Order: sequence, then C-alpha cells, then structure tokens
Amino acid sequence: MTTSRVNQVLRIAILSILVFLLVLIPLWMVIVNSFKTQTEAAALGVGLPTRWAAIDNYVQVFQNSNYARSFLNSLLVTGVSAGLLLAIAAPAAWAFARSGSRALRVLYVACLVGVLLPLPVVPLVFMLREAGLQGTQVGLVVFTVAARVSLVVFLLTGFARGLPTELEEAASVDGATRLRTFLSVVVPLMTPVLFATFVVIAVSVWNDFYGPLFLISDPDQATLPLGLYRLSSGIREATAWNFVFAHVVLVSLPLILVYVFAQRRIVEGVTAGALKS
Amino acid sequence: MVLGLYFAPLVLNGYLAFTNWSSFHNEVEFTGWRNLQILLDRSSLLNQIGLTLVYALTAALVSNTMSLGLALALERRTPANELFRALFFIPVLLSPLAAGYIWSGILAPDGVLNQGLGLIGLPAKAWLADPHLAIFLVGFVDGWKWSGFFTLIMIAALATVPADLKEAAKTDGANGWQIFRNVKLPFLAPAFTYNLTVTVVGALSAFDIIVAMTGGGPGSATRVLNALTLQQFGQGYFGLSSMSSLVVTVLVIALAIPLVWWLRGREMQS
Repeated sequence: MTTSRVNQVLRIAILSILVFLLVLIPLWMVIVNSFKTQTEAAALGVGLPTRWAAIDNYVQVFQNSNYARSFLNSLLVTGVSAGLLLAIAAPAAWAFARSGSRALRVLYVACLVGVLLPLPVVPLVFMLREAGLQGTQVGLVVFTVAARVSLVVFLLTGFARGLPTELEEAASVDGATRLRTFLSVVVPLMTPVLFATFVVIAVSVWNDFYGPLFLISDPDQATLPLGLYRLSSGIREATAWNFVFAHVVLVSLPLILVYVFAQRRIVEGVTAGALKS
Repeated sequence: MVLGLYFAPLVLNGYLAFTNWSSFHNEVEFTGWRNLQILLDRSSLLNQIGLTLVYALTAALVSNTMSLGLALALERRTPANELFRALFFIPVLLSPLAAGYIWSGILAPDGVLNQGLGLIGLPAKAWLADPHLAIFLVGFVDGWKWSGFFTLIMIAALATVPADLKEAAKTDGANGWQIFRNVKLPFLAPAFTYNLTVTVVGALSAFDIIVAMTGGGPGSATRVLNALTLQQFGQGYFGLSSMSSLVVTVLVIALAIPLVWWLRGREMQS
C-alpha cells in the first residue's frame, strides 16, 4: 500500500519535472519574451518583462508579416487540400477495400509504396511551372494533394475494410447505383474516420513549409510558416527574439486553439489510423 | 468506373519519380551520372548522407524512447494523466519551423539552457555552434516534437492488451519488468512499426527544423540531403537538385522498406 503510494507520488513528480523542462518552460520562454522589448528579449530570460512591449511587438509582427493575408492563405490552402484529399481518397479506399480486381490490387501496392517514398519535388515544380501554376495557391494545393494522397488512401482503406457489407448489399438489392450506395451508405459509416483524418491532414498541411518554400515567391501568396521564415530568418541575426517569438505565437495559436476545443476527436483521429492498418 | 480519375495523382507521383532525369539543366539534356559525380565531388554527398542518417537515427531514438516511457507512465486514464497527455501533445501541433526557432532560443549561447546550467553551477556552452553536437541537437528537437504523438499511439496499443492477460501475469507473481517484457511489449509491436517508419521516413526528408535552428551550419555540419536539394534548387541547378532528392528516395527505398518488412516480421512472431 505505502510503496505503491510512494511510487505514485514519484511518478507524478517525474512527469511534472519533464513537462516543465520539455513543454512548459519552452512555451513560457516564447510567450514571455514576445512581450518584452528587443533589448530585454535579447537576454532570453524567463522572468517577467520589466517593460511591457506586448502590443507593440504583436502589432508590428502582424503588419510586417502580412499576417491577415497569410492566415487566410493558410486557411484556404489547408481547407481545400484536406477537402480534396478526402474527396479523392474516400471513394478510392472504398474501391480498394471492396474490389478484388487485379488492376486495383496493383494500384494499391503502388499506393503503399507512395506512402513511404518522398515526393520528387523538382519534377513536380517543373510540371507546375509548365502548367502555369507555379507561385499560385492552386499549384500549392496540387502539390499538397499529390504529396499526401497515398497516405490518406492507405489510412482510409484500412478503415473501409472493416466496414460491414450487409448494408451495401441491401442497397444494391434495392437498385441503388454505386454512386448512390457510396454517398448514402458508405460515407455516413465513414464519417468519424473522415473527420479524424481531416484533422490530421489539416495539422500537417497548416504547418507545411517545404512545399510553399519551393512553390511560392510572392509574399501575397505566402502561407503562415513561409511568412514566419521570411520574417525570422532576416531578423534572427539581429537577435530580435521578441519579434521572432511573437510571430511563433501568432503562427501556432490557431492550431492550439482548435486543439483545445476538439482535443478528444484529434486524439481519436491520430490513433485510429495508426493501429488499424 | 470513373474512379480511375482519382488515381491520376497517384500514378503521376509514381511516374515522376522516374522522370527525375528530364530536368537536367535548362535545356534538359541527358547527362547520365554526371550529376551524381558533381555532388560527390563538390558537395561531399557521402558526408550529407551520413548526416541525414545520424539525424534520422537520433530523432527515431529520442521520440521512441520518450514516448514509450510516457505511454507506460500515462497508460491509465486518470484526470492527471489526461492533463499530462494533453500537455505533452502541444509540441506536435507546433510547426517544425516554430519548434526550431523555440529551441534555437533555448540553446542560444545566452539561452535558457545555459542559464539553467549556470544555476546548478555548470559551465555554459555554445550548443549549436559545436559542429559535432549540432546534428544530434536538431535530431533531438525532431524527436521531441513527435513524442507526444507517438505516446498516444503507444497508449492506444497498450489498450489492446487483454486485461485478463495482465491479471494472470500478476497472479503468477510476475514483476513489473516481466509484465512489460512478456505481456505488454508484444502488443506494442505494431505501434513501434508505425512510429519507427514515420520517424525514419520523415527524418530522411527532414528540413524545417534544421533551417530554423542552424541553417545547415555551423559550416555544413547539419546540411542534410533536403537542405542540399533546396540549396541547389535555389541556385538554379535543377538537375543537381533532382539528383539530391533522388538520393533521398533511394535512401528511403534502401532503409525504410526493409525496416517495415523486418518490423512486420517481428510482429508476426510475437
């Protein structure tokens, strides 16, 4: 009894120390220094600011980084990409799960390989340039979808395989078309996993930096991570940590807020795909 | 069925992987192995392959040990554990770029780590300026960022251990280590497969964290393959850039696919 109690206290204590060292102190450092003046932030201390420059820092970063514009760009690219990915992958996953045709099996294996292999960036950038889409958000969406489609198909196929077939059979006996069956029988059954996958993709697209870096050069088209890079790579040399950290907060806050409100579903989402497939 | 249309990006993806050769120079000429030769000679490609592997290994080691420890500690669903899980998950949400800036602040010469070391009387160190250490540090940050995510996956895997199996082991007098080794570990195998694959594949194409923390420096001590790809791309050497990204692809084929194979095989055994 007492030893298990000691163990319990010890466990909580160790976890608390870890959470402080690895999560809370880093976050605190970012937030508190984003409130300081440039000279004070240069010392990177974890104490409270002696002179508050919070409003000043955030207003400056908000304007200099074209935040509102980048935020909308990020929202648009993330929403459209994640929506498109699901619209492509859900029917594909259903087809893979249900059909025994050899052609589809070959395609599924191709898809599995696509999960592991990184996207060849350069040829894709060239193709987008040929198509006149380089530097545009349409191009970025195409890039994003191409880079992730195999993974999403893979995750959803694992789930679709576990769906009961009875309802679909009943629907086809009633004379429903394949499309009709898909929309009114399969999609409702897949809704939870579709939502979860949407969240997971959205996090990864929102934070993506590699794609935008290759594709976008016009600041008006930039997404948030690209804006962060543009602003910070320039001023970090001058140790303007107050601005860098204010921007880090502005870039990270939207996702953290979403997480606070949708925590349970996000957690279900990230775990569901990994173990089923 | 019209579904064929949906596979277009997929096929395109596979097709593109083999047309890397088409973008040599601006007039697109086939130059055979010349690009590889140039990268080997001028950019010390082998060194960068090594760095990329060290980075991937560090990231995989950090994230998997950290998440295994956390998962075992946070296995039960109590309010306190839920809070810890949520807190450890926060880094997962940060963009890798933001994570990089945060840690470059912590590891800066007058940063938080050195201040903390000063408090307990240890000497300060210019962490990221050390060419031998830098690659491990950026790899650590990659592992740190993903630990919360893998923790959740391991907890989900632990939940698949049948309760009566644990009970039986306990009544047989098994100690904590024996229960972990013989009862829990076999059920964790799929989680390890997933986590290791994701880290290794992700880390082989790593980039964001390094750009934010070291920009590939000091010197070229953290210039991994993808940083090389971007550098060549930025300078207009599209062919060389293609080649260096092809090297990443080959590395993934050579490493990740056998890794998945091996791990899956071990899963079957246990």
